[in-house]
Amino acid sequence: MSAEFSFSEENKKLAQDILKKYPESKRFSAIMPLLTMAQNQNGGFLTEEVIDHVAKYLGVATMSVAEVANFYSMYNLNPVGKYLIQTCNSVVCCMKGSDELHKYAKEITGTLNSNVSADGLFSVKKVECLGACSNAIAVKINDTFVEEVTKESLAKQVADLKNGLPLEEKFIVRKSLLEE
Amino acid sequence: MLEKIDRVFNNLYGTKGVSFEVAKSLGDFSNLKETLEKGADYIINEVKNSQLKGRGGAGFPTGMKWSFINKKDPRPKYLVINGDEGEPGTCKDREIIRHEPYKIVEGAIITSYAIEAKTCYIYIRGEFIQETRNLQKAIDEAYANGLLGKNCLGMYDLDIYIHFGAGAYICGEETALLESLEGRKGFPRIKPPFPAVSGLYANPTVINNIETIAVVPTILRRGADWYKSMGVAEAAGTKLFCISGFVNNPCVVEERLGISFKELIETHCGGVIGGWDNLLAVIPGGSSTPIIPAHLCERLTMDFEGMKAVGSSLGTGAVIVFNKSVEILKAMKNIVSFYNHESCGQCTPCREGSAAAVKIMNNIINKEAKPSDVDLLERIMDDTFGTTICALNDATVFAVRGFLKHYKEDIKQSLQI
Repeated sequence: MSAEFSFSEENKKLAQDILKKYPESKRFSAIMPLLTMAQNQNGGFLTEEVIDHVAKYLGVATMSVAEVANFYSMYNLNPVGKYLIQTCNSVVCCMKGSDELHKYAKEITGTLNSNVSADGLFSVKKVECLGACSNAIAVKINDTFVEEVTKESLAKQVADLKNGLPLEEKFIVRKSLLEE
Repeated sequence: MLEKIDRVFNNLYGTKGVSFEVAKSLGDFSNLKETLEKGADYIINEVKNSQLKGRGGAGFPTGMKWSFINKKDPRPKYLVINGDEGEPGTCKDREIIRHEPYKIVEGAIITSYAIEAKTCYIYIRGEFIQETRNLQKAIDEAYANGLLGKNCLGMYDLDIYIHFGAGAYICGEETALLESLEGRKGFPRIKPPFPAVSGLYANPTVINNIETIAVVPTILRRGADWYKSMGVAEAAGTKLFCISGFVNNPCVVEERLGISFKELIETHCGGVIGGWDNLLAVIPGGSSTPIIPAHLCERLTMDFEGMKAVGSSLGTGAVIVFNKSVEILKAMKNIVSFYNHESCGQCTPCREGSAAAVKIMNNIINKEAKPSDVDLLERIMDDTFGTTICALNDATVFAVRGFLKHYKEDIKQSLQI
C-alpha cells in the first residue's frame, strides 16, 4: 500500500472548474480530466489510492474509474521517472529509425533492464502515433514534444536534463517551400 | 496550384502571430453576425451547396450531417468537434489547433447556431496539451469579446469546452469519442441510433472533424460557389495535406483537391529524397488507406475519384511517401501492429484477427512462415471484414489488402527456400 492520496488545495479548485464543464448529472465525464490531474500531482502515475480518491470525489464506483485508468495509454499504472521519454513507434517514425532510437534512449538513460533509471530521472516507453509525422522522428518528454530527433539530439537533451536544465518547449514548424 | 488569395488557412504556420487581433485582421469573425442573421437554413444550405465533405477521413457530406438534427426535438443539442487526430501520418489538426484556433471557434459558433446547440465540446487527443494552449486562449478571448457565453450578439448562447483524451486511437471513432467524453472506455457504439438522434448523453449530436469546422466560416464568407470552384467534381474545395516520410521537406500544406501527387510533393516538399525515380510507394491518406506503388503515382491525383482509380482513398490527407530505402514488409508489419495495439478489444474478429495477423507478419519477417501463410493472412482479412461494430478492423483489412494486392507474390517468393 502506498501513501494516502488526496487532491492538493490547488487541485481541489481545479477539480471544481473541471466539474463545471459538464451537466450536473454527468459527473462521469470528469473522470478523465480528474485522473490526468491526479496523475500529475502524484508524480506521473496512478495508484489504487489515487483511483479510489477520484472515485470517492465524484461519488462513483471505484471500478468505473479503474477501468478508465486501465484503458487509456497515457495513464501510467506503474511508477515512472521524473522525465517520461515517449518515442513514437508508428509507421513514419518507425521507417525513419525510431526502433533504434528507442533502444538508444533506453541505453543512455540506463533503463535497459528497468522501468525507471536508478537516479529516478528517466523512464522510456514506446507509444503509438504522436501525430507529428511531418516532424519525424517524434518524441515526447512528459508533455513536451521534441521533434526531428536524432541520436545526437537525444543524447544532448538527456544530458541537459541530467544537468538539471529545464525542458524547453520548442516546436519545429515545417512550411511549404513556397512559403517565404 | 492554390493561389494565396484562395487559401482558407491564411495563417497555417502561425507566421503572422496567433491572437484575436491578428485573426480579425486576416478576416476571421468579419461577417459572423451577418451570416447568423441569414438563419440556420441558409447556413446549412450554403454548406450543402459548397459540397464540403468531412475532413476526418470518412468524407461524409457536412451540410447533410447537420440537416439530420431534428429542431423540433426538445432535448438539448450538442456539437462535438473531433480533434483526436491519431491516424498514422496525420498531423494537420495539430497545425489548426496551434495556429488557426480562431477558425475553430468561429466555425463552432456558426455550426452550433445552425444546429441549435448551446454547448460544444472539443475533444483533443491528450498528447496535444501544449498545442491546445492557443485554442484555449482563442476560446477565452471569444468569451471576453462577447462571442461566447450568454446572449452573444443578441442572438445565441454558447459555451465551448475542451476535453482531453488520454491515449486511445479508437476515440477518433465518433461514438467511441462520445463514450470517452462520457467518462468511459472508448468502446464504439452500435449504430443505429446515430448520434444525430442519440449522441452525447443520449441527446442529438453533430460530430465534425476540426478541419471541417475550421473551413466553415470561410465558406460562408466567400460563398459556396467560390469554394466549389476550387477542387474537382466530387471533391470540392481545398484540403490540408500532411506530407511525411521520405521527401526533402515534409510539411502540412493547403492545396486544391485534385492536384496531382507529383506536383504536391515537388512544389511543397522538394520532391522525393533521391529524386522521383527513387519513389517506392505512397500511402495517400493515413495508414489505413491502401498503399500505391510508384508506377501508379505518375498520374495520381489527390481527390476521391483519382484515388479510387488506383484502389485507394483520400482518407485524412496524410500522404506518407516511401522511397527505396524503405522495407515494405517492415512498414506493413508496423501498420498491422498499430491496429492490433489500438483495437479496443470489444469485437472478437478485430481483437483476435489483428493479433493473428501480427503473428503471421512476424513469421514472415523472420522467414518462419510458409508461402501459404500469406494466403491465410488474406483469408483472415476477408473473414473479418465487415463483421465488427466500428470501422477499425476494416481499416486494418484495407491496409493489408493494399499491401497484398501489390506485393503478395514478392512476399511469397521471399519465403521460398
